[in-house]
Amino acid sequence: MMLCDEPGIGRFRSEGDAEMGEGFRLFIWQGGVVLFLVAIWALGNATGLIDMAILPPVQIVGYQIAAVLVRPEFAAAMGHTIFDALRGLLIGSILAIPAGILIGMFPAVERATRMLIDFGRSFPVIALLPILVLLFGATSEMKVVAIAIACFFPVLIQTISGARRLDRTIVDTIRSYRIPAHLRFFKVLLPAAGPYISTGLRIATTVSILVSVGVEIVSLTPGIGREISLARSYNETPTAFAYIFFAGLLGVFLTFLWDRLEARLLGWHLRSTAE
Amino acid sequence: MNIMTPVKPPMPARAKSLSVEGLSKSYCNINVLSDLNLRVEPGEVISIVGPSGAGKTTLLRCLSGLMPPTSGGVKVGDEQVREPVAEIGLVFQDYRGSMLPWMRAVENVAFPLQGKGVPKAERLARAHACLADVGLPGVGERYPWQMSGGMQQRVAIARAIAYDAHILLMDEPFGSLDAQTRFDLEDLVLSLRKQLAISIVVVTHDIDEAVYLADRVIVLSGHPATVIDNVDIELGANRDQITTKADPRFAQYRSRILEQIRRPPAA
Ligand SMILES: Nc1ncnc2c1ncn2[C@@H]1O[C@H](COP(=O)(O)OP(=O)(O)OP(=O)(O)O)[C@@H](O)[C@H]1O
Ligand SMILES: [Mg+2]
Repeated sequence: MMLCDEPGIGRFRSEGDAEMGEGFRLFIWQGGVVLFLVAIWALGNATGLIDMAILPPVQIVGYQIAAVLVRPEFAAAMGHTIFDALRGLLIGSILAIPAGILIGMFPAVERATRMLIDFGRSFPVIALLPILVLLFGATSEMKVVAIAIACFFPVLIQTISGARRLDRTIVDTIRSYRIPAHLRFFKVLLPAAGPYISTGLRIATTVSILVSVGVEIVSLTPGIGREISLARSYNETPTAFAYIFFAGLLGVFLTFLWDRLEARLLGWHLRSTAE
Repeated sequence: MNIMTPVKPPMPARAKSLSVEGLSKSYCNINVLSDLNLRVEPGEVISIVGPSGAGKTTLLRCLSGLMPPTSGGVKVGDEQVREPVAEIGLVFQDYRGSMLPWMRAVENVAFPLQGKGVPKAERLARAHACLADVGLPGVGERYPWQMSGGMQQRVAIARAIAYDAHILLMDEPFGSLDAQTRFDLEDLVLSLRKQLAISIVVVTHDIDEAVYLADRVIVLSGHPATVIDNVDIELGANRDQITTKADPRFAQYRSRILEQIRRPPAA
């Protein structure tokens, strides 16, 4: 037939070679920016412009990053942070996605809940922490609840806009073919909102790590945040920085994973909007 | 009614007429359609033409049950249409918007059948068969973005047929396609009506297309719009793009309709 180029869904990559070159150049640039900042840091330490007590020398932090890696508590802390973040993310999104689609499906519900949602999205979860600790104690469960609440809103808000932005002709089509509600939900609104849900989940993934580490710092529940807090209280600032470095790396890694997953799940979207 | 087509296909028992009785429609306080009466017999093909903004899309949406009329009613057989009904299939001008982009062609065609509770194997088999009927054998696995506009519009027609609609409503279905593709799809519509004995209502801007496809052309005009002419097209059941359009009667129908549309509404 007319079109021979039929890449499988999910294997969405633009031009093979061009993409590789492009990716490599981007990598060089990003690496360059990091090196530049590290150089400024080193220069700051050398000239005494940066107080050693606040920001320890590059090489010491670098050494600690390597040293922390082999400590037994490192793997355990990393495991706690990731596991709880993902649990919270999962619970938050499992509640937010169906709620978002239902809200988006019915304009009246959307109007009725708009104020509540605006309130919830800008409400800092950390402020809830004292209450959560009171309810659950300084436990992993408390942490997971805090993460779930924080992840709920970005996913909810994105899902609602995805479900509301259904093309008018699609609305007419599913109405005229009398598609029943459960199929409308699973086969029309859910995939239609897919790209938005994906954005929501990407935001929520970052939020889950942030809140996980944040709650650990404050409540000393096990995880990277607790290690940061302890290192600070023992005046081991370089160790604290090493843990902060890994917390950041975790975010980068999860975003990368999410990009791959998104290309796989939403190949149809990337392809149909590629023109 | 149509004396030039004695060899009409046999009418299946399920075929029902579509009738419009005293239909009026206003948006807010603007009266768009006023007291329309219209009847589409089983197996009949009618075209609706009229100036832009006359209310053709409005009429089609009322016919399909997507929009309630302000007064009067639409009936399929003896049943009042209030919501979309199972007998009617719709084909929109905007083929891009009417395909679900996350579904393959065959899934798009089979989807309304899933709503009807048809088992998976059966609905997929039927979808493949209908795709073959509209001239798209073997493209069922493609996504909409892998198909041309003409192909997507064929898929939309296949979907209406698979749904077992025996009244097909089309709103400027070929308006955004190039001339050659439009001719091919017009011929597809003619061959489907012969094979399946379905009734078809086509709204179109193109008077040649209206005459070529129809047993009857309805001319809508005025504010609010009413039926100002009802032209029986007696060009036989076997039509083709070259000889039918060269027929002197074709030219007569064409100029008669064109004159109606261009005539300023009576003061
Ligand atoms: N949802 C709406 N609300 C208010 N007015 C509307 C609405 N839809 C259509 N109209 C008005 O009703 C009139 C008829 O519109 P309609 O779309 O039915 O015309 P049409 O004959 O299909 O035109 P075209 O040939 O350009 O598609 C127009 O004047 C239009 O402005
Ligand atoms: Mg229109």
